[in-house]
Amino acid sequence: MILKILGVGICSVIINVIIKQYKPELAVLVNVCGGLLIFLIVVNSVTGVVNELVQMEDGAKLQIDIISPIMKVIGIGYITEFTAELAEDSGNKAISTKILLGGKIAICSLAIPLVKKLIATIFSII
Amino acid sequence: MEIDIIFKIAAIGILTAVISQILQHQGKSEIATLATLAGLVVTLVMVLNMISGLFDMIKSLFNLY
Repeated sequence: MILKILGVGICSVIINVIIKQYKPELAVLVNVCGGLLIFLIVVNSVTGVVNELVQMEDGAKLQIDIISPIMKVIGIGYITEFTAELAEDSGNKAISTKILLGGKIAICSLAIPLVKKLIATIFSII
Repeated sequence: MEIDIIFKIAAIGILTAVISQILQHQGKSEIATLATLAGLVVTLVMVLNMISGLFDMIKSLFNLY
């Protein structure tokens, strides 16, 4: 599986350089496709991990509202990272930092209830 | 849906470059710009479909609704 990822990565880098001479705007699209293909290769093992987490959570009767924000944060983190690195690669650093800012705010808004619950449990212990 | 997408985009890029060069030498430079735009639009549509697929997959995977 790792060899497939390496192959896709090398191919997309080489083609990106080739295309940059003729059509610089298409080079960005080649980058996008390379990143996408690598994610498509990895997604099977990610679904495996996610299913394990969900089953573990069902068994342990943990509250559902702890596991699902964590999964959401992971998803948001990945997507914003994907787009921000893309923006930075194609040269516009300002947009990439804005995207990262948006991602951070989204994650913060998701994490607030968890922090509140943590504080509540701490107070209940003291 | 594997690696051939990247080769397809590379082929489109090189093809549009060659076509616009030919058209420019024939003296029809405005058609050359149109040909370049057409190539770009085709590639963009293809890549956008893939990106929307990716985002849907992530949304369903991490149930980000």
